[in-house]
Amino acid sequence: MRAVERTVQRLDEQRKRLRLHWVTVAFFAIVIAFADGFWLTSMQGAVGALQRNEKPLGRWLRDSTLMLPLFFVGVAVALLVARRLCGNSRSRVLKVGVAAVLITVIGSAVGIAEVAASSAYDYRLQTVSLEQKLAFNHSHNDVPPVAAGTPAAKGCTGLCAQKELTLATHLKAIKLASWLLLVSNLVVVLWVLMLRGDRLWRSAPADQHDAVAKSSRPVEAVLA
Amino acid sequence: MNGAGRKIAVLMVAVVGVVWTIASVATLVYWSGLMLWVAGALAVGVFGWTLRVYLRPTQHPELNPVPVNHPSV
Repeated sequence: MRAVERTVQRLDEQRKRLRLHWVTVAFFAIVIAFADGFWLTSMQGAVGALQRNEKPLGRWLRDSTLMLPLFFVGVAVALLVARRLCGNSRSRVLKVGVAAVLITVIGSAVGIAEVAASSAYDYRLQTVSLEQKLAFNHSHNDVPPVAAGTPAAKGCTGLCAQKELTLATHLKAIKLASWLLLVSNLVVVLWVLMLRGDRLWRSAPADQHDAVAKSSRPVEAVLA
Repeated sequence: MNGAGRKIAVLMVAVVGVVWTIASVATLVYWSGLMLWVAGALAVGVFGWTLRVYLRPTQHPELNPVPVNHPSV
């Protein structure tokens, strides 16, 4: 029981030490996670493996909810870095601007990692499916070396060419999704900042203000 | 809310948070395979080290002047 109390106490201390508005962090995380989940679901529907086909709404809700903690951590880190970079700045535009850029970049990085991981899984499933299909047909030479007008690498025919085309499709989709994620994240981050831009992080406690005031006295003395 | 109830609530939120985070990381690792994540962890480690080194708080000489030992006359 003592260990539990100590853990709770430590958690409380950590929460107070970070001095963030946790509702704002949660708001950002939810909006970004579900926006990025939309692009993930769209991409899976377009180029994903048939084995993973299911209703898009259910998949969007499940995958977005599952990834929520990663976005939460990402937003918290972005706000901590933003506070460190320009927490003492008097310019509100600078504070909000740096926070917007950092949340967008880190949120997009998490989103792109999610999309890339999902694509890697789809690619694995699709290549296994291709191999099984070929093994079943016993007709390696019947497979067209090039599909849909995309040139295959020299000497790469049959299964190799199909795998290469699948990989190229996934890479193209990830590239497109990355841009879409960046733009959509920037839009939703600016929207959330309009609603909660004044509650990004808490100001330093009174004792820290005193420390800053004391440390600035020599400067005042010099200027006087 | 009394002390014990609050502690239980905080602990439950923490446990749910940890399990949820582990589930999301495990899903990503399962989707992409382990090797990619070893490389990713290395990249994040290097990035974190860089942040730690370059965002280290610097002392301003005006705010914390270095004490100078004046020779006694």
